[in-house]
Amino acid sequence: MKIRLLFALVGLAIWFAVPSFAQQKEPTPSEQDRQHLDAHVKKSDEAWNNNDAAALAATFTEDAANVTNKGPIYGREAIEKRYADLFKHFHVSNHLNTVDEEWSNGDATDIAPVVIEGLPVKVISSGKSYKVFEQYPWEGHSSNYGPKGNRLNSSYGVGLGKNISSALLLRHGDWIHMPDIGWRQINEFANKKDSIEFFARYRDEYKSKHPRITIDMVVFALPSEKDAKDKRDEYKRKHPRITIDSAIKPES
Amino acid sequence: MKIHFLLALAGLAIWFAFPVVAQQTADPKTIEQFDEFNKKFDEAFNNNDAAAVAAFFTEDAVQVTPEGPIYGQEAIEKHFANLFTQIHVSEHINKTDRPPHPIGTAGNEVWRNGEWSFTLQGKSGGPIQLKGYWSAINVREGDDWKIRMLTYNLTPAEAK
Repeated sequence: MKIRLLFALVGLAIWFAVPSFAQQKEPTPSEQDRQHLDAHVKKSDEAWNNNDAAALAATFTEDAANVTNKGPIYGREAIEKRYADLFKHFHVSNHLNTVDEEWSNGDATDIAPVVIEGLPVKVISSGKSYKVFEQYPWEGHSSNYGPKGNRLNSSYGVGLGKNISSALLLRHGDWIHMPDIGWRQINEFANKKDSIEFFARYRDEYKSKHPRITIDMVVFALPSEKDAKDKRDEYKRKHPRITIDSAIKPES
Repeated sequence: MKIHFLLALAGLAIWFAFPVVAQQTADPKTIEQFDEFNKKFDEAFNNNDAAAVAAFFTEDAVQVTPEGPIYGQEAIEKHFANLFTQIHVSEHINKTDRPPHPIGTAGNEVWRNGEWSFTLQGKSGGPIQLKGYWSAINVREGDDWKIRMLTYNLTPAEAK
């Protein structure tokens, strides 16, 4: 009986020990690993596009860290809470995660298709290319235009020349897509009327690769002025006069 | 005799199995090694030494920047060499947020995350302080730890 128990104990311990030996070797991705990763990426995209915080959080481990540009978020629960909060304010669609040919490292277009209030991506082909200008960190520039806190940023912001804005009916807050660069949000006026200005970390970071660029897609993130006026007028029509039936005075 | 042998075998197997269950955070020696690693990494940056910075990466490393990935130690060195001709970096501080987390059980691979900051001086302006956050996968090569994958972001500057 004792011997049987010991055999069982040995078997159990060896079963636990096997991974220790197996993982001494450098891991290389098998076809099965790739398939699992592809499925993982697909599941993540689906969760994003369903704006489903719980499903998205389920793609993380219990002790995961989500490193954002405002700091890390630790643990699946906190990550779920963060996405739940995000999806209350934004509707995400067309989320596409692509994996580079190198294993497990990929380009995510997280920022790009954040279509605010369900406004769709508009495909355009003006056939024109625009000159690229650069703004550098040491110039310490902060814009007086656009939304509060507006500033070009290496991750997402661009400045747009006034002629381009007029031609494509673009405003601050809208998104533009440029081939080989991706999606950027307009949060500046560029100095030159027919140019696009990028935040570059060093001279010629963008200009060397893209002396001129085209815009092939846009997202109108905010309703047009006419739409906004129509909405205001409709409200006035429905409620020419209103009453106040209760009020709350905040404690000082 | 048989029982003694089996007991010894069980003990040995449990000893091997133990790291599988226990290693949720790295051992004190590894933590100490990474403290030294961070210090030397900061030194390489503050010396604006592209070759020294690149030496922290493996041959097949990937550096994922906000502008896209850079593949391989050689390309990473070139990237930093180009950067250091345009700007001067000082006060580079690299902090690890939590102890390294082992990946697998061999003790040769960990993931870490933390924050970075430095002062940047351009030829025609500055200084300006930049900061952000990073996550990394490190692997052991001989007695040294190297970066196999480094992903970093940039915290948007606050409006003036």
